[in-house]
Amino acid sequence: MGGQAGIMKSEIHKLIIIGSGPAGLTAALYAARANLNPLVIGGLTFGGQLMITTEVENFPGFPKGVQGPELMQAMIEQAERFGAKIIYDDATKVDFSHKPFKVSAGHEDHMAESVIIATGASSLWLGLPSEERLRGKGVSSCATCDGFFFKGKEVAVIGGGDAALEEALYLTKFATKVTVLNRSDKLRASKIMQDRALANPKIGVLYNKTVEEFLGADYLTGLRIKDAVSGQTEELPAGGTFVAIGHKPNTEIFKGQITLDAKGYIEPTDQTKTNVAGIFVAGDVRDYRYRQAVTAAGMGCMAALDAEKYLHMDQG
Amino acid sequence: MNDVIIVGAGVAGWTASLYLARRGLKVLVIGKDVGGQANYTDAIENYPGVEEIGGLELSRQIRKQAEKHGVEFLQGEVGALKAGPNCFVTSAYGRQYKSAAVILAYGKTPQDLGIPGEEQFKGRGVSYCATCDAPLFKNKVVAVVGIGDIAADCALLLSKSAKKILVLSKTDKFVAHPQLSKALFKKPNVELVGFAQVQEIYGDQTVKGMKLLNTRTETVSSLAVDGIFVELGYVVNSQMVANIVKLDDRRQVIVNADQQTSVLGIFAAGDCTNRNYKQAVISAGEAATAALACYDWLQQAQGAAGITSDWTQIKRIKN
Repeated sequence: MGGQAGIMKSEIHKLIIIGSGPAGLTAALYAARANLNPLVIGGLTFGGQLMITTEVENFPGFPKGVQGPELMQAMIEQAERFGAKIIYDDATKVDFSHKPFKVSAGHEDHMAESVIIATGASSLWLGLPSEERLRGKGVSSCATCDGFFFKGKEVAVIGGGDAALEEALYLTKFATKVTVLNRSDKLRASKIMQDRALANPKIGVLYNKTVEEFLGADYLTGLRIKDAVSGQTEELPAGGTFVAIGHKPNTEIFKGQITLDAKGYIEPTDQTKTNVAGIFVAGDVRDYRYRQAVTAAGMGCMAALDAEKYLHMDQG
Repeated sequence: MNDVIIVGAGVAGWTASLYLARRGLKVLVIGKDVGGQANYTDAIENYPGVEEIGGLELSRQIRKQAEKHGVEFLQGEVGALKAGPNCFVTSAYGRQYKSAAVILAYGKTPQDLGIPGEEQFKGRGVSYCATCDAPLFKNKVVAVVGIGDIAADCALLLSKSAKKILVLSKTDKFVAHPQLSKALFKKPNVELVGFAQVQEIYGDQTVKGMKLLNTRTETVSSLAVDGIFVELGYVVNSQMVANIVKLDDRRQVIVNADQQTSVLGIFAAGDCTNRNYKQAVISAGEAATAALACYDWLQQAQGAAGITSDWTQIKRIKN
């Protein structure tokens, strides 16, 4: 039972799904419809990254757009309607060394014959209270998702890596001006990316700048930035700001349990399988490239079908 | 010239077009019909975030979404796809359309019977979709030619509205899931026609009947019906791309994790790929991936920046 004294639940589930974003909930929907009675460990902050996205315009099937939280609520209800059980605790520890697999959440240890990991990835943020307050109100971490809303506006991108410059280049399609704020005197991005970004007339880079505060009452109007050399602060008007200082996969609890790549992502061996038979993976926790709600949902569906197949085979 | 031509107008095709158009590309969708495979399902209840939606309706919604971003649609059947110098050439109904990249999303199509009269009466009494066409045969006499559970499902659906449903079998039995068979032949308007093999479909403006070979006595007779439902499963019709991209033994397009085919610049998504599961949400997910990978490839091919967020250390699409 490990070191922590969790309450061991005697029931052995056929399938536990860790995570309640589009990948986890689509997996739950399919598994529930296949009578696997899945238990979803949904997390204290359930729903994944869409919960902090206001309008989702690119989830296929919603021509009028849909609010992120609304879409996730619909997915939760849909999965529950077919018999998925969702608990709103964080998974704190797993034991995949032998079957049944163990997932600890809250004060309980849950057992299962198979597990789908769909814990997603988190954007890294600067951590300012004003940033938190204006998230989804002009402050975003995903240009692909939200860039379209900034047509005709001046925007800022925080960060100096490839990701930041990519966001900046993408935003030039919509914004009138894109200011990249880099905290040192050199960009971290590859030379080729720098050349491309700097050649774009809409992009300007400000060096040695740190962001002190996101400004705006109900919606972002600008940033207060500080020059690291002179120590002077100034206000930069911005109708939108993209924080592009990276993502990290939510895989802390899986270290030592399954194989992670150098960046901490779970690399599937075949479709959604991992190196541990019976453990499957779907969504952003394995996908650093596309990171879309619908790609995560598609993978969640595949993971459920793979798990279903595994359970059939496993039980003869 | 278009940036991207998408072959197929189902869930995958429209989703791919949506993603590309949102990136500012010029996109043309060419499809025989709007909807594709999902049209054969009247109620999808496993598409995430949507409680229940008709298959055709789902495609229509995604189309609406895509057209808001400027996607263009051409109704037509693609005859061939060729690689030209610095572009791909797609022909449809004798006209040629150029694009820098192509996404194949033509899905799978119903298996034909391959008998005289079938082609002539398609849509005029010969149907491959009970879900779509059952209402047209209310109080009429119809035949179901097919195998297994899909034929049983079709006949069960028809039994709710048609006057009489003749279920054909080449033997004296109809083989399907026992529960389905039992439910089916309990219906007073369902009848098994054993030892029957369809040889020809005839009619005038519409279907009037069919010629049947009795597999036991080897005699031929006529059977008057108003409609014929064919339920033989589905095939992937990859004829137009067979000479250009690699197909598997089921003629499905072979793709990698980035939805790339064996030819650079041609991507594929949805039911026409060799991925083993066929679901609307998987098609949509694959299509988004195909679109973003395609965008990335185009950007790089044109010397611009691709998608590099978070994947600088990850292997890139190689030219």
